[in-house]
Amino acid sequence: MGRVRPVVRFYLCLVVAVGSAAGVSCADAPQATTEPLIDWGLVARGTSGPIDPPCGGGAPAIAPLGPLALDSAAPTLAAFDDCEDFITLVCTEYVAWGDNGSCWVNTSHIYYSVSSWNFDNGNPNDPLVVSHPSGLTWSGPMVASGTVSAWVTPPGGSPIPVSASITVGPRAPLSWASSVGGRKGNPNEIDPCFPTYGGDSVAGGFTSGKDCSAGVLYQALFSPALPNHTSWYTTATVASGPNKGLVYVNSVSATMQIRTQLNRLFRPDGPAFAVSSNGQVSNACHAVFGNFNARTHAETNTQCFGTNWGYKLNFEAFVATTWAHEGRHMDSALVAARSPAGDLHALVSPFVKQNTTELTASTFGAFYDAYDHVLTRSLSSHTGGTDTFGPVLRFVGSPSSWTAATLSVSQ
Amino acid sequence: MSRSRPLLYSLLTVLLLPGPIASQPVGRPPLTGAQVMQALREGRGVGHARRALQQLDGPVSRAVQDELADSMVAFVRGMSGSMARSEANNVVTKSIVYAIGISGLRDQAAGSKPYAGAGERLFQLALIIDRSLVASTVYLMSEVADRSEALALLRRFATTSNPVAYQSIMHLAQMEAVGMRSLRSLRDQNLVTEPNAKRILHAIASEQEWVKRL
Repeated sequence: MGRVRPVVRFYLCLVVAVGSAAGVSCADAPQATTEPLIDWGLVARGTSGPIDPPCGGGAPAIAPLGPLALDSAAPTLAAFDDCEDFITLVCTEYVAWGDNGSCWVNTSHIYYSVSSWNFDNGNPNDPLVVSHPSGLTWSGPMVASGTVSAWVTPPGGSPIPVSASITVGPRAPLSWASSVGGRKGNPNEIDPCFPTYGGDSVAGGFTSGKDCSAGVLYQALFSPALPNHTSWYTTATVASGPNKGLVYVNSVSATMQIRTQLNRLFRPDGPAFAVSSNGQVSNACHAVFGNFNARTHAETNTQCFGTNWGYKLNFEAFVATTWAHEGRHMDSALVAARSPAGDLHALVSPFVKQNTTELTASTFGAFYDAYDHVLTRSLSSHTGGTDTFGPVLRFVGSPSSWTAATLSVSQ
Repeated sequence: MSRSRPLLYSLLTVLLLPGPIASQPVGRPPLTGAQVMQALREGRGVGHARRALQQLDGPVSRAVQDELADSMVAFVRGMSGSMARSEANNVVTKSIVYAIGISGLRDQAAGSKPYAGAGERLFQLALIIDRSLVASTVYLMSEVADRSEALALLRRFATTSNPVAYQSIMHLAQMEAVGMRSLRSLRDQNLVTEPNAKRILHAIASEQEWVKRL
């Protein structure tokens, strides 16, 4: 039991003796009282009447003032059987994340004043500190564990520190696992994001997030593509109590939807090129289609020549291998995004910070770290080596014409 | 409120005793780098150094700030091999990155001033820390108060062989005209060598039509 200093105790006893109608001093206090419970809340409001001294067996402790005291019977302090005065800080020992936690100063005497409440999470690496000027109680929603301390001042005395801990249970884990997915892209999906290399070198396939765009975001994986594009999480600020003012992530809406895609150049909906540049192609396509219309790579390779020359077989193998290659990128990205280092919701949902600035720095930092994790894992699906398919017909060169060439897909 | 609260009061009053009497902080001498190193070695964290960098406990000279930040970087540098990559050390490293990073943010919380040496220390950290923390370090580097310094740091990092150099390219591309000019000069001088960074720079160049598009 935290005892107050003797000089303080003496002073308090004196005050109680003066205030007691019965004139019972501390020294005379009975060891066991049968006095009825006293409404200490009323006493605290200054109503006159007999007052038990706060020392002696079964003497009531001071009920907290304010809302906590309104419907309370006077609490008693069991086994408090001597004349010692006391100051105790009582806090809710454990609260579920987001539930209310309360602290109140429990003293042997009502004339103490409480000032300078403080909360400290005790984590020097990520400090959270809250202060509150006064009041006998301090309560509100809790999102961070820590130690509450208060300075309690007896009348005319010096402030005395008291402290107690509040443990906040873990937040129900958030995860974006159900928001993470992917599929083969429909025609036109992520087409603008395809990397271009100039000349005749093109990417046969590509994998990206559905919200990619040309340029810097060509391989954006998450939605939003960048953390400052649209709000992807909401914040809340604790309104009262020991965690007042602390800012936390309230909800997260970021998603990752991966699309794999075959370069439009090789898709049936791709661009068509004049067949007249190559007599063999021109004749073959005319034989199949009955005209000299421009043809796509898919048509030229898979239809104009039937199964002759191996164009169809090689081109279809290239297309299938490319889809499979991109599918491996997607699968790796999904696994990475569902892992602890890539689950953006899981990464940011525990964040409780001192202010919005720190919260933003942390959430944005987590966004980029998660992005890097997913991108790295996605790219690591390359196993080395290259599959080469040929001959196939490509419309290349300068001036461009249909030419027998090879297409490659890295493994 | 439950009628059982008085009993709860009694139990808590008996069980939860007041903690030890703490002394109020009064006129502490300036923190030193040696103290920061000692605190880190003892696992006591960097909260006090962070407050000093942010000048939350009063004015701190630039020299002292640099000493504190350098001691934190030195601590990370001192962790080698598998130790440096352990989860526990990553927690410490992350706290150091954020202590320095937040102190350098241009958007500071009330009562705090940006630490002007943050960017350089973040740059040094980005080169030596575990890959899993580099991206956020580069982000914090991009947010230092002095925009021209942020630009220069991102440009420097983009030319390193660090596998996360590509994030520098991404941040430069978001710095509008001045960032794009920097990227173009990086590309014209062929200074970006890391494959991923090169790939993204090329994609930007294509989109900006610095190169022929197909």
